[in-house]
Amino acid sequence: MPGIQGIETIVVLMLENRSFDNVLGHLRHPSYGNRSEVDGLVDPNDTTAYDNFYNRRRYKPFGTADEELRTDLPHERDTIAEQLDVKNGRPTMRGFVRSYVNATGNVVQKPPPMGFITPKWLPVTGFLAEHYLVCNRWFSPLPTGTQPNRAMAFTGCSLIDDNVKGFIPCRDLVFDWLERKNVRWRVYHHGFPFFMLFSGSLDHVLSDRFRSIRYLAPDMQSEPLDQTPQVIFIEPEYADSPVHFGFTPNDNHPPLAMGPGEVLLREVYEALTRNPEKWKRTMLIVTYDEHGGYFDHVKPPAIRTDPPQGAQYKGGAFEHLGVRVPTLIVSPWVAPRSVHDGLFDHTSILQLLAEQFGGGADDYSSEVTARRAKGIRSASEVIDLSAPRTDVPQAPLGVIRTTSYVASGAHGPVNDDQSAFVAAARSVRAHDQRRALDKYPELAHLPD
Amino acid sequence: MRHVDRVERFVLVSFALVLSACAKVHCFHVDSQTLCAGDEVRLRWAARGLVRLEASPEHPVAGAKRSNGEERVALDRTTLFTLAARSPFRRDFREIEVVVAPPAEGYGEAATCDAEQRQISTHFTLRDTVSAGPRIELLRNELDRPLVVDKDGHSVRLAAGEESPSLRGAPVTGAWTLTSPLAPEETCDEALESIGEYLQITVDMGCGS
Repeated sequence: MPGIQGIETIVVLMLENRSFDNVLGHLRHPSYGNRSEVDGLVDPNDTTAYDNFYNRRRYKPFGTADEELRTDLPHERDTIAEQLDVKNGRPTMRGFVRSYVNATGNVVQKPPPMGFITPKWLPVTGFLAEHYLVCNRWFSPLPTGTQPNRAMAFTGCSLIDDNVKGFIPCRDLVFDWLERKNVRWRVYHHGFPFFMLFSGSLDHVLSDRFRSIRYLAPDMQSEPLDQTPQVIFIEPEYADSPVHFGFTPNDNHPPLAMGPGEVLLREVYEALTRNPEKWKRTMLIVTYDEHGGYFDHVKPPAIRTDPPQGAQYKGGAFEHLGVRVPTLIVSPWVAPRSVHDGLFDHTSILQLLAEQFGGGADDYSSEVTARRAKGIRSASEVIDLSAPRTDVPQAPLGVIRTTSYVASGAHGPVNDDQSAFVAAARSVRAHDQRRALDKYPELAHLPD
Repeated sequence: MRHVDRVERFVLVSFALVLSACAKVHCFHVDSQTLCAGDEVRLRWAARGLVRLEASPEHPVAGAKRSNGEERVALDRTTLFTLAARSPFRRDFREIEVVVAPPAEGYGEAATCDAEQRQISTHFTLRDTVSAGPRIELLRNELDRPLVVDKDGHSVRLAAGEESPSLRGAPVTGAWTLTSPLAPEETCDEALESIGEYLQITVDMGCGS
């Protein structure tokens, strides 16, 4: 960890529901990136390793544009188990098409879960992968949906094994840990932040530490170094949010296309690099909470997660990590066009925080330490330079194709996560209506 | 009398509104997903709401439909059928793509290992995925190990990567058994892991002259 001490601000941007192969798989493909060091997709016609089967018929990954899908993809605990298609104790990764057909009834030659987006549609992601670092083996912590995986990322354990309709039960948010360690932290959010869904978060999300994303660039530009947050979480505009007011969903959650998320990535990168003195002390982690039902060819390692004390798991322990997700480390402390093969999941971020601001990687919680003992490494390991780079590559300036989007929940929640957003937003409003409306004006548009 | 008419009308309209408010496609099936140009396929569906069948590219069968029904259609090119059910508050759909004369398809199934026979194998029957039209042109073994293909009692042995016209002209439908012997010293576990747990065969197809 030659340069980790040089990093003073850690920024985490967690997007939604994409697998590594869906977003970065093209980087290895000979027709696109042709980067053999990236564990992406070789030409699917040259291997049988990726083949999926439904009704005995074979389906291979295929290159696709960044298009809005007609439906979301299945990504709950039971459907992900179908996708992993564990045989003889090993995930085969051959059940993604079967899971999709069983969930949607759609039988097409090119099932959406098998699509990998070609590079011209992802100019900013491609730019960051070219100039910074790609993690080859960063997995979602649990083979299940959004809420348990975000709970792992921001609390270190999950008391639920699938999405719930109300508040997400949790013991201790990352904010509580940071405050115990006297760490300056802040959340920049678009509309409703996902953190609002965690039980016990109401006072946090109404505090001054939660600021509109519109302040990110000016804060980075003008705030003195000694007042700059040491930890920043950036919250996209969530597609599952019941109300969108002034922002287009940009969390990359299918059926949404990734164009708006690409614009967000560019804005965040430009804001963080605006002040060179701050940028040389910054590490941005861009990752995804879970794979969202998209195919990935790398079998998740057999790392068991037992239900923690007080957990409400319906399905017992998890025997494997979740599906691999795209993760980019963007910092002057990593070499351009580099990769890292270490084993990471979202709790690697908590290990990193514990190393930087606590007593070492084991200083976050017993659950995070237990995962570390099973081979999950700290995100600090990706830092491979002993001095920061002085170049600041310019993000592509061209127009990024975006699509208009109508929230699928326009006529009421259709999934548990949307229901949880509605319940949390109502609770925030009921908790302190004046402060709530001041901070989240979209609450005025939330139906009673 | 006029009052009764109004009540009946109110009940009917309310009933229709309730029905259409819950638009849903219960099922949408075709009896073959792969066929030859000119072959007929039967579409069957059950839905609720205002039901419409769409086709891409356009096909005369497209249009408004009853809630439950079936139609037989002849296809000369690959067609994506979408059955859509609509209501003022909800839309539901199912898609099925029928593939006409693909150059090749792959078929496979999870394998099991017989330690005594020292082989891994799988067996499956192709019936509802393929119509009676498509014929085998060539069999290709894309696995990194030898494969014995038994199709309706006719057997072909293919080395790793090998292709064979031995079963040319036989229908693709029917019973398939794929077998691969274990190498000396190879365990069942190693053999199954080497194929990602599935045995498969690639079939180059033709539809005759």
